[in-house]
Amino acid sequence: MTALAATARYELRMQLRKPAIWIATGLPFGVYALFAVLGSDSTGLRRHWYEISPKLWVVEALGWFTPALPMVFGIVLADRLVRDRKLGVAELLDTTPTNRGARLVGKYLGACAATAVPVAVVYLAGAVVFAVWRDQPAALWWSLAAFVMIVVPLLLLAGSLSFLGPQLMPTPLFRVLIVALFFWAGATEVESEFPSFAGTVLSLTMDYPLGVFFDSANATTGPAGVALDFLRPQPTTGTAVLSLALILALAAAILWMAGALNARTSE
Amino acid sequence: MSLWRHEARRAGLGALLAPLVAAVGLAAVAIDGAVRLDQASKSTALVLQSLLELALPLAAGMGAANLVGRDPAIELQLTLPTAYRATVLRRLVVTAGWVAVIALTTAAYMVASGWWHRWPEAQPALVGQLTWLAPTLCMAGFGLLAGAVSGSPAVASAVVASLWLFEYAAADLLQEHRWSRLLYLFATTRGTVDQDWSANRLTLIAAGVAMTAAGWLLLRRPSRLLTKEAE
Repeated sequence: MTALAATARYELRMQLRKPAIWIATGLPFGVYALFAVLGSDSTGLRRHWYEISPKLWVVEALGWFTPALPMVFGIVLADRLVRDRKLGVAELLDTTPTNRGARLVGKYLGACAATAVPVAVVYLAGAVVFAVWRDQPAALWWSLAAFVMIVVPLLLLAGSLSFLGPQLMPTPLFRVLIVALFFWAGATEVESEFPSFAGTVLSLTMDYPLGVFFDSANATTGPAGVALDFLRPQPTTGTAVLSLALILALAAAILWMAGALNARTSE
Repeated sequence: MSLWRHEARRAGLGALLAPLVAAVGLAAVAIDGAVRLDQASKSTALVLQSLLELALPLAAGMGAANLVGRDPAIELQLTLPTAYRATVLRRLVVTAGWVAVIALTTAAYMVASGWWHRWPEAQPALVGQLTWLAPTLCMAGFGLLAGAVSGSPAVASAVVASLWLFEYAAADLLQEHRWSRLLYLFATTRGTVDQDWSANRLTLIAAGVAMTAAGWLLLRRPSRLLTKEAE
């Protein structure tokens, strides 16, 4: 337990000091804000200015870039685990009387927590601005809910992928592939002829939680009469929670594989 | 020649595999669309054009972003008579050159098989090579510049991916001003004002060259990379 907490704390502090996570998260939100200000009424972004529902504002205006955030998470977290071996730290740590699994989980939780901080700051700032501007303090609760139910599960999934992927392939290739994975998830739709998990409980754009808890217009839920429809149950609180549980279970399974592979390579 | 072979290996399997994986992946989608779904040929042609204009430039940009900051013994390398920036530039040529080989092969196949012209906005075959050349140069230059500024492959990759994604997602937004139309990366597949196409391509090439030059200048004093941790 001590090893887990100590690794997590150390990894959190180390990662927080890296400019990478601040730049990589701040930049897209900054560019988006710039274009939302510059844009005219004809484009999609401008309508966010007129949104008065705190719930929709949080998931649609503030959450505009959220489906793409896992790419950024994956890119900045990709070197975390493999780096230890490259620098020769892994062998050194293996000689300490700590559990390798606990260290891995600690590293994962610490790195993910640090990566979440810049996004949390953006969500908090966005919510405070909206709460004051529209006199809608509920925006604070909605932004907290969106952060916990949408951003955190995606972060945990991207984090576990970044612990597994770079062990199997060169890190730069993994960075391209994680962009491709979440691009595929975001760009495909239920009607697309190209196979995808769009609109299912396994959707990487979190369709069920977004549709059920936030009434988002961007989310597609429910049977669509196309392939994989058994993964598209009626949208209810139960199926939305199921969807969240599945994403988290997937993240846990991938992390377990990363741990097993890491242990095998270390021997 | 042996130097170039060495740099090809140093550029990393990742940099060389990424465009290949991207090309094979999208080609599979196109074949799947054409054969299994018996799809209207226009959308399959769009997938193939997107391979050239979206996927390969992304691979080139990410490859370029991973060039600076990955040398474990940079201190030693800086003592050699060969300037570090010359080495980095050689790796950039290898990375972008490999993308060009894949793009040319794909384009040649598309022209020969007739798929090229099934996309209505496709340009004549020869000039049309700018479809991939311009965004590839622009992204590679941007990747190198981001890497030279940050000295960190993670930051540079994230910045390159963000730009690419922003250009993809904000297609309508970027059509509003002439300056953003000229700098738009995906003018063939995601639309631009027709008469702007050539100007757009030339602007992108100029921007790519300018960014490569800026990266080259920034790497003049590679000693500032020394305080950075190697990945």
